[in-house]
Amino acid sequence: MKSGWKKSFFGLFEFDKPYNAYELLETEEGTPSFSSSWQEKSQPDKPQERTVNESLNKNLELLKKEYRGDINTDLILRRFIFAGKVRACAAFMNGMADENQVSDFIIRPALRQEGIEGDMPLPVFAEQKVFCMQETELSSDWSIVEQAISEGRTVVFLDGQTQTIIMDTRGFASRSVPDAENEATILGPHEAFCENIRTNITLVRRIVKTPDFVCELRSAGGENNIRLAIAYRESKVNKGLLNEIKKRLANIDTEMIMANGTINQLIEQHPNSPIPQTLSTERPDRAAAAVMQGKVVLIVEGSPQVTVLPVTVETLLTSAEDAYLRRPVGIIVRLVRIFGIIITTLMPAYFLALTCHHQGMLSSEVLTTIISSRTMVFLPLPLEMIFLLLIFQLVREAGIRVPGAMGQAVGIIGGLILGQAAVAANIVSTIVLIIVALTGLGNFAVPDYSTQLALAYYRILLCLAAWIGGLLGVSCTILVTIGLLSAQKSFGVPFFTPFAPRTYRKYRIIRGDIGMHKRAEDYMNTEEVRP
Amino acid sequence: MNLREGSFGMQESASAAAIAVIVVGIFSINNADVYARGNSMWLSSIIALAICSVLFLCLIRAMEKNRCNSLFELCHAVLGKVIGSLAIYALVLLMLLAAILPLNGFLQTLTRFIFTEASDESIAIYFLVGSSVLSMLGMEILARTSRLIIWLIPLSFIAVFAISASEFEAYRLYPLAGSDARELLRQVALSLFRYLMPLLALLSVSRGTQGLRFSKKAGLIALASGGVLSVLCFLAEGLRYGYTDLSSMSSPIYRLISEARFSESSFRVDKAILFIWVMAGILSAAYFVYSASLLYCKKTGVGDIRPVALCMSGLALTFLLMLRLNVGIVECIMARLYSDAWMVMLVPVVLLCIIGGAKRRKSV
Amino acid sequence: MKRLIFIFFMFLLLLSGCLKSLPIDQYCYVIDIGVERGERLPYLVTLLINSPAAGSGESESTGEVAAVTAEGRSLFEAIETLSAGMANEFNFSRVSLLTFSRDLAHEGEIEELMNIALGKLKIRANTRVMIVESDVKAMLEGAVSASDPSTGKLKIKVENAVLSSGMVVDIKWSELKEAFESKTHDALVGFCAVNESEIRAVDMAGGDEYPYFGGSLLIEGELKTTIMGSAVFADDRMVGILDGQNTMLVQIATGAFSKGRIRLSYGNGKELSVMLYKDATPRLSLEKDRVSFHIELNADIEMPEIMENAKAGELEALVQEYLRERLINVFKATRDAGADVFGVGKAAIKEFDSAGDWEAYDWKGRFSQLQASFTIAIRIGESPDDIALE
Repeated sequence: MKSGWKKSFFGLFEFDKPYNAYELLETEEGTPSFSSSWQEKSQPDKPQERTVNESLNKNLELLKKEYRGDINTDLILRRFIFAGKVRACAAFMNGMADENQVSDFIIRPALRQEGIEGDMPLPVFAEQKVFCMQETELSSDWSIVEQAISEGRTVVFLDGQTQTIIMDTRGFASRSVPDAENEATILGPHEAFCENIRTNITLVRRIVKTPDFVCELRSAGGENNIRLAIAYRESKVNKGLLNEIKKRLANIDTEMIMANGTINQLIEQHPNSPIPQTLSTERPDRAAAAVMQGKVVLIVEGSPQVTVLPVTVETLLTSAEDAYLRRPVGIIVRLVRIFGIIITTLMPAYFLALTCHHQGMLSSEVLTTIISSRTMVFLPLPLEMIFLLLIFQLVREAGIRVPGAMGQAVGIIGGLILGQAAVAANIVSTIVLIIVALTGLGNFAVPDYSTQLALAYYRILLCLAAWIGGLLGVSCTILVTIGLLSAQKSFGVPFFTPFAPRTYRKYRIIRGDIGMHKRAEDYMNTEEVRP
Repeated sequence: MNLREGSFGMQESASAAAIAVIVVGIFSINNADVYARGNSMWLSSIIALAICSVLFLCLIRAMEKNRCNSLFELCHAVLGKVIGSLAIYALVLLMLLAAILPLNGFLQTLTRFIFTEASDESIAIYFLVGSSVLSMLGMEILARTSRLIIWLIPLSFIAVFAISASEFEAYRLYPLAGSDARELLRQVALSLFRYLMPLLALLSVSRGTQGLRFSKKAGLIALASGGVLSVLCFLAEGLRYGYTDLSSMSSPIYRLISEARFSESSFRVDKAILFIWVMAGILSAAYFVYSASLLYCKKTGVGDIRPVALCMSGLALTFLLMLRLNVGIVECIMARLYSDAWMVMLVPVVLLCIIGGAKRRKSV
Repeated sequence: MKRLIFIFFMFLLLLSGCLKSLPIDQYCYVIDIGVERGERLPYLVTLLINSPAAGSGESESTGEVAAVTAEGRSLFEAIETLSAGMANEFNFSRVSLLTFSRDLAHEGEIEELMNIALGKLKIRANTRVMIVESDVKAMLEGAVSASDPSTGKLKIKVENAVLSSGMVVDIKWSELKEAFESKTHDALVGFCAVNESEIRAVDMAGGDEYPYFGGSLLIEGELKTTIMGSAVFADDRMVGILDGQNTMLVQIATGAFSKGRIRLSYGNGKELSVMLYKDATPRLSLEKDRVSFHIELNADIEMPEIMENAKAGELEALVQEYLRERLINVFKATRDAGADVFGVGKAAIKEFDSAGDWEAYDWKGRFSQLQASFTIAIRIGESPDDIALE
């Protein structure tokens, strides 16, 4: 697979490649066809199918060989005599499978069974009449058998049969449903996703209690074979969008998938853009709201966040609590958030531009204050600003990495003592410190973590532009950035929807009345018919 | 083919065209020439806008009759291969001229008022980067970016009018008609070029507007909104400064806001407003560069518009810097282009309207 | 190859070159500029500069203002001389006042100085202009104050108080330039002096010697900077002076007046103090050889004892007659000097259809023959009749 940065920067200069991106928005000619040529490449060769051997011994030898049974003590092979007649073996992973379930609902009934009844094939008989597990399947595909054992399920081999019985005995230790720490709200639910995929699916299903809510389970890709669920409402979701997502997931060719963050980068059209084209959320209510609106949610095993797509600028700048607030309050909160975003992105650059190139725009008091506060400071003002912005990022990172009890102390040390000491030592000036502090506050007004980090990137870029070109540099950078972001699409939806292109919605910046929300967003092109 | 026309809505196409109308209408004027014999800009603009709308509707009608989706197809369908090609190449050059004229105005303002120690090249390179990136991204992106930025422009002009309104005096507009009828006609002709070029550019990219009826609506909205704003601008300039002052000014609209008496404790906003206009100017330049590149690609069969757009941007920058050189033959050529471009534009447009309107493409 | 194109493209930004600006603390900000005749060389230039005091990062200094002077054969030369002696570079983007000496104004050199020299310094066109009786340097030094709040705020406070008296003209460089270049009107420019003995300069309209204005720019030391009224210009040359009250009358007639006080004789040696307010924009109508002004004002009599004994109608008639006589005097004086400070040309230009005809027309010749009439409507508030009823 091409490395990510080539797709973004060089993509503009790849003059010999045709432009063929996936489009979700409908045009006058109708909704475009869903067969895009995104990353057109041949499908990875499917490995040759291997079937289970009739001989139990051969199957067990193969299992030991593949799972390094001589050195890997995790693989448990429990031999027993099924119904007093047939040699059998239950294969499972120690720690992944619940041993009590294996003992109580597989081994014991198998041993207690007296004889084989009826004409049905033995595996079918065992599955339907003997074993007491709630989820069973029959398979003779060796890759499915392997995957099942790796996932914590138990596979029963019967001598003389190619079909195995696979039963869900997963019982590995995992966290219970935690509180939402990174997307905390005052109003609304406080639950968050955990690492167990089944629990996560359940958390969403508890809110989306519709019969058309579908969770397709599949492998996430990667050699570590973790599972991924594609959750959507089958009667609502745009089929083209769904196919495009599945196509991109199928094209994943990587060594391992650890969490949804990896998946996001592998399926995004512009992985090198600072702004994400998917939303990672730890809140089930947010994921459920997305599903209800016809969006698709990807739930990755082992990841306490899920991926919502497609997303627009509005999705990234909205918090879960917005819908739970009353409208007037919600409007104010949203406007304050927009103000915070403007402050965090533009204020350092605007300040630099004015002080470096356009001093005439400053009032006398501000000019005198800045000059007198910078006396004895040796760093040039732009370097001082960039230095402090980087220090702010450093303090933020340190606050995350430092163990719990010390985290607050780091904030206090970094914020108060370091800042105050730096001013007293004439390393930085007071006014720049205040600007960086306000910038930091505005940064945390952004609900999405990835977007917060992206704004840090644009902030530094704009500061450099202000240093070099003043307001001319800033305005050119803003224009080019808006242009490049306008070109960015999240699974066919332009990033700046519903502003450009505009949609049918009445309110865009201020929040509309909650009662107006009767159907999915216009740009989702869902299956429901608009009256 | 990678011509990046994309598909965009009516609001977006109207925004792109309106920004071009405003920018070219207001910022591409040679003040020493147009105000030398009185102030008839606002009157000539109104007349020119009316004529432009008629010409635009005639062009649309010709396109509908000949079942053409864009200006390129119309030129070939109506004028034939040879004359059509000449017309297309002429339009390409005129679009580049329309791109650089406002940039020249901005360059003058920036070097005069803002970056007084900087050279023209240092500032012009920023225009190049902005216009080349945006034109390479394609018309869909240009249109969306215009849609996002358009609201800043009328707000900025309203701020200018509001701040400077206390110093307007009616006597400065007199004599109302400026000079004589001949001078008025000349002003109308110059204004025709400024207002019609954005519409010609819109018709060049009309495949992306998803239908000719949307192009028509978008063009009329752009002409009306941009035209009204530019006329108001000329009126404000005329009410604030007499024609003798205007003829010696490089940027009267910037002077309107920069001469406001702000209190000592408030921040000045004149430069912030100027840079909003600079952004609009870069966007307008990218729009014209893209349209010119599209016509060129369709004519020459080049499959990818991006290298052409990059080259056209560079060409526009070169012309811009040559315009600033004031050297001999270059100055003559540029002066001629300034004053006679409207004739070069009008000839193919009138031919297209008349022949295209009379001719109907035979149904297959 | 594509990588090379990309790298070249990114380097374009670096090729953009320097926009040549200095950091904020390496400039010396010029607030006011004064130009007058030098002793040894043609010009003496005084710059009032704002140099924020050095101190620690926690200092609360609001900055100091200092005046520096130098002579030169031209404005540029003088500024270069000053610049050579300063640690920082001059920044003229904050200049708020231009002052010229009276002799430069009489010789018509102001327009040339403004157009050529000051244009190059990139001074804002809304900079205020004033004419000084002789000592520009002393006048600017008189504007220095080390007190809190900042000098800028103090100046504004004083200037607003002065402007609200109606006796001082507030004119910008761009307005003055318009007056120089157009034929529609001539300019009045604020006029000040710095020496007690020069306060009694001759008013070109004559009349009783009303003391020049009210208010001084306060300074430390013995000198006082006094605003005396206005300098009258005909085209680009100064032709005379009007005192504060006459200046106010001209502003009443042209609509630039908002409020101001007049004092007039009221029988038995008493003086009547009347506060006038603008009621409506004055109307001007021009006929072939006559111009008529119609002015409407509100008035407050500031002497209750007179209010108790007099009738409103009487007082209104008194004030009207006083204003009418004074206005006619001022008009005649300025007309005879060739200065259209009443802006009659603004009505004249409306008679023409083309700029060429207006340019060719001898407006000054016609103006010199015009007669003026003033119709003044005064409405006295808090009429003495009402007070008597109370």
